[in-house]
Amino acid sequence: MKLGALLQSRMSGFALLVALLALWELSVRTGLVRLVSWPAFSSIVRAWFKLIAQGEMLRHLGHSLERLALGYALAVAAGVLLGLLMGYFPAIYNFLEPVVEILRPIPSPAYIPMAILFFGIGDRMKVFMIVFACFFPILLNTCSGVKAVDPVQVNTGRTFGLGSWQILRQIILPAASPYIFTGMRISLAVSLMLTVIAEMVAGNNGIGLFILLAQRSFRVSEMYAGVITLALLGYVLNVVFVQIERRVMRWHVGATTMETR
Amino acid sequence: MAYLETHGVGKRFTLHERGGDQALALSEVSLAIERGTLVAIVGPSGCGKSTLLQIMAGLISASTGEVCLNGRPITAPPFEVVYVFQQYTKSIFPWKTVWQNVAFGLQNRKGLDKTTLAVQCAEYIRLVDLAAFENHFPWQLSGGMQQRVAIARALACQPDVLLMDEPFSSVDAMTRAGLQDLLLRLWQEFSLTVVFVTHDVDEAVYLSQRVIVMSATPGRVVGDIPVPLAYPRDQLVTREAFEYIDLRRQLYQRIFPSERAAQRQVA
Ligand SMILES: Nc1ncnc2c1ncn2[C@@H]1O[C@H](COP(=O)(O)OP(=O)(O)OP(=O)(O)O)[C@@H](O)[C@H]1O
Ligand SMILES: [Mg+2]
Repeated sequence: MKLGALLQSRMSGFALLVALLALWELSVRTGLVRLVSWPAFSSIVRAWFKLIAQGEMLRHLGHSLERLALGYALAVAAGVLLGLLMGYFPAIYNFLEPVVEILRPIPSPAYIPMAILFFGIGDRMKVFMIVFACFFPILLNTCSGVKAVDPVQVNTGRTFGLGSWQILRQIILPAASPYIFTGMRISLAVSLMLTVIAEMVAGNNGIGLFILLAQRSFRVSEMYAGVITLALLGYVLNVVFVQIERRVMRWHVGATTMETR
Repeated sequence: MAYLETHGVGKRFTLHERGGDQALALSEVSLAIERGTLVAIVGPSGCGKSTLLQIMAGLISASTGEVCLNGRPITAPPFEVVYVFQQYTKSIFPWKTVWQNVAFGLQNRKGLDKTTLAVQCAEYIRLVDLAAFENHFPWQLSGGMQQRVAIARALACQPDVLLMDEPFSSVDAMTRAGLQDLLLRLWQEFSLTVVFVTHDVDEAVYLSQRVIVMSATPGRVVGDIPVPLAYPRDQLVTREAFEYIDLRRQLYQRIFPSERAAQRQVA
C-alpha cells in the first residue's frame, strides 16, 4: 500500500497506535528508560491476562460497571424528563433555571465530601455522584433540543388534535432526540470518570480502587493493566453507544446527509 | 348563522420582543362560510392569507375580533378542523416514514381499530400516488412528493373543515390537476367544508364556489365573488366554458387593477 493510500484509510490510525506501543516496548527493552514506573508494555499485557484469568479484574470491572450503569440510567431518565419539561413549559424553566445554573458549574469532585456525609462511603454515594455529574449535560442538551423544535411541527400536532402531553411524547421527544443523544454521549464519558474518582476516594472494590491499590503496593504492571482496562471499557461503551444511536437515529443520519449534499 | 364565521378579525404582529414596532397583518376580516362549501382565498404574497387561515384553525389568536365554528368562539384548535401548512417540508415528520406520517393524523383522531386504520392509510397513500414509497422517509422524496404526503395525511382524517394553505404549490401541472379533482371528489363525497388558499387564480375558479380576494397592508377582504359553475367540474370542459373564462378575467382585473391599467396605457 502506498503511503498516501494508507493515510486515507482507517488503517493509518491503527498503525500509529501499534507504532506507539512498539516504541514503548523498545524504550524499555533497549534500556533507554530504566524506571520502576515504566514497565515494558509486554509485561503489562502479561499482568493483564493474568488478572483476567484469576478473575480479579473482571470482578472489579463488574462492580464498576454496575454502579456506572445504574447511575447513568438514572441520570438519563431524570435528565431527559426534566429537560423536556423545562424546554416545553416556560413556567417550569423559569422556576428551575436559577437552581440549575448555580449547581451546574460546581466541579463534580467538589461535592464528594458532602456526598460522603449524606450517603456514607458505600455504593449509594458513588451512584449519587455519577447521577449528579451526568444529569446536567443531558438536562441542558434536552432543554435546548426542545427549544429548537420548529413551531410548525408542534402546530401540526395541535391541528391534528394532540394535547400537550401527546405533543411532548410524539413530536417534541423525537424532534429533540439528536440533542438528547449529544447530551447522553457527553455524559457517558462523564459517568466513567466519576465512577473511577468515586472508587478512588472511597471504595472497597471497582477498577478505580484496583488501580489505586496497585500503585500503593508498587504493583506497577497491574496498575497499568487497570488503566488499560479502563481504556478498553471506554472504547467499548462508546462503540455500543454509537451503534444504538445509529439505529435509533437512522432517519436523522439520512436527513442530515441529504441536506449537506 | 354560517358554520364558520370570522367577525372583524385583525392581527397585529409585534416585531421585537420588547414591543414597539408592530405590523398590522390583518384588519377587519369578516367572512361567513356555509357548511359544506368550498371557498378559495386569493391575494398577493404577504397579504395575510396564512395568518387568517391559522387564526381560523385556532393555531394563533386574533388581536381583534373572533372566529366562530358552529356558533362557538374558537379558542384552541377545534377537533373538526385540520389545517394543511404552507410549509409542508417542516410539517411532515422526518422521523416517520410516509406510511407513519399519513397514519399520524388518523391515529390521533378517532378510535380506529388497527385494520381500518391500515386500510384507510393505504387508500389515501394510493390516492396521492405514493403507494410505492410507503416505507420511504421524507428526505428520500422530492418536494412535490412530500407535499402529497401532507395532503394525504389531512384528507385521510376526513375532518369537517379542511383549511388548506397553498397545498398544491410544489407539484407539477399534471399531478396538480389530479389532486384538484381528488379534492373535489372527496369534498362532495364527505361534504367537507374547504377553505383553500392559492396564488393561482385559475385554480381558485376551477375548484371553488366562491373566491375571496384579499389585498395587502393591512390584509383585508376586497372582493367576494361567487363562482356559479356546475359540479362536477372537468379539467377540459369547465376550463373551456365561457363563464369560466369570464370569471377568470374578472378576477384578474380585481386582483391586479393597477397593473392592468398600466398595461393598457402602454398599449
Ligand atoms: N410571526 C410573525 N411575526 C411577525 N410578522 C409576521 C409573522 N407572521 C406573519 N407576519 C407578517 O404578516 C404578514 C402576512 O403574512 P402571511 O404569512 O399571512 O402572508 P401570506 O398572505 O400567507 O403570504 P404568502 O402568499 O407569501 O404565503 C406578512 O407581512 C408577514 O411579514
Ligand atoms: Mg402564506
